[in-house]
Amino acid sequence: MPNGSGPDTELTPEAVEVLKMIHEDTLRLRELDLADTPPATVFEAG
Amino acid sequence: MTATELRQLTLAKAIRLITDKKISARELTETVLSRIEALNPQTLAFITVMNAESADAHRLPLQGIPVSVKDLYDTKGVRTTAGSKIFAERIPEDDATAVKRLKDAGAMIVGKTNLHEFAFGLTTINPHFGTARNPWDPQRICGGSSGGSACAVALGMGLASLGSDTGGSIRIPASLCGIVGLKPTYGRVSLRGLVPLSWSMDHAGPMTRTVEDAAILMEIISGFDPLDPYCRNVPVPRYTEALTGNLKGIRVGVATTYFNERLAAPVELAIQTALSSLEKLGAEIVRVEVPGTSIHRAAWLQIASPEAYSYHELRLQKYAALYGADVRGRLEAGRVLLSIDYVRAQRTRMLLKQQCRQLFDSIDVLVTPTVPIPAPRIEDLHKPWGDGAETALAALARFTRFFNVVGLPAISIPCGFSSEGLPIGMQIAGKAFDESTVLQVAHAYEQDAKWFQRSPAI
Repeated sequence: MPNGSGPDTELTPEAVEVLKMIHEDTLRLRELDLADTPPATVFEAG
Repeated sequence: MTATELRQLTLAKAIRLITDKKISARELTETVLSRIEALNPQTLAFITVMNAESADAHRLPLQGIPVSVKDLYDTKGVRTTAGSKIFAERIPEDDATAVKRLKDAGAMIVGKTNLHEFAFGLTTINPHFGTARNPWDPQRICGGSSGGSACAVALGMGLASLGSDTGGSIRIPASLCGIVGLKPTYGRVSLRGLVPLSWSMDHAGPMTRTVEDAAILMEIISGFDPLDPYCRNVPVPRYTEALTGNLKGIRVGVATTYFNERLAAPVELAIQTALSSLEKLGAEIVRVEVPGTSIHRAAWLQIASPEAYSYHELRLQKYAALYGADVRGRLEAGRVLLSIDYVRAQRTRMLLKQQCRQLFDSIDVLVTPTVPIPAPRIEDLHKPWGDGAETALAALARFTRFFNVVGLPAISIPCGFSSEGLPIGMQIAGKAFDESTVLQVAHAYEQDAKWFQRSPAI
């Protein structure tokens, strides 16, 4: 188990599990055709 | 005042009783503090109980009424832990804006409530301060991350509380504990002085016994704050004036997919019955397809994880071992995600917002279950439920996080009980900055159904 969490340290098993879960979702996100939609910003709500 | 009377006392009623000099704020506060002293050892709803100072608040709207705040809100001179070991002795020099507004309105803050560590989780199983227990069954979770607040309100340990919500953290515990919880529109309530989880999806809001009480608190805590760069300068209406009981002409959207799928039987029954009640009260039911339901979770994860990691980056490098394993894992995941996926998620978010604006052209509110299941047992959290497609833990935020992604207001109110006596919540979402209509619909249903009259046995 690493002591730190900097860019060169290993991920914990819990983090690896989270990443596995996020990966499946991310593939769906990458398949989406966003055309010319710009990013949302926190300055416009709703 | 008996325990039953205290559990059923609302903020609105307490204001009337104090105004009419039938009870004093001091007497009420002492009763609440006694109740906290008696129940906190078994419920772990509070991390810190405060020495309530006698205040001359009789001319102020909240009249010295005792309330609590989630221990994520800074309180001047009182430790604010965010449920973490790292902040265990952190004492802010100033109040969060929402806390200051509560105090200025005459509220008596009696304590800081338990939460999931750094608000990054849905159970309030906290490795540092213990597991907050569900007031209806102590073997079950309160939900989270504002679990202590929900437990406190349900048991009369304060007449209201402030929570925060990044993926459902006000609405989920409200649903599982049988109280009211409102996540306002993004930018409606100042976030200044709240320990952040995900800047672009964090929301502050009230947790109460009734919709009227939520409206009262919203009038106090809402509004522009120049010290919060994300707070919007939009006029704050008199929310209590929207509580007319009249739903004539209100178009209630009901989703034909996603929000009606994989529901526990008592939840499905409670929602169907509630929709019939809304129709009886004069609302028009409109079947709608909600856009983006298959991808909103991906957008949420790709935004929340890196934003949370960004806040914790330096502390994680120095003190990783002080974090709980689950929260540390979620945070560290944010370190290795790709920046292009963050931008893709924000573009997806923009698309969903645009599509939601179109959706809300045809409806005034959208009604869904808050949580697909009643409160799970602690030991069952990681087990599959129903058809086995997801764990109980994974089910908790399935219907709530959508509204954090799009920033729209959403409330959870009680809409029934399971055969085991566990509360079930209904979520009502609305247009941006139209909390009034959300509260109007919620109040009309609540006063017809009267689930708030039921309270836990302890």
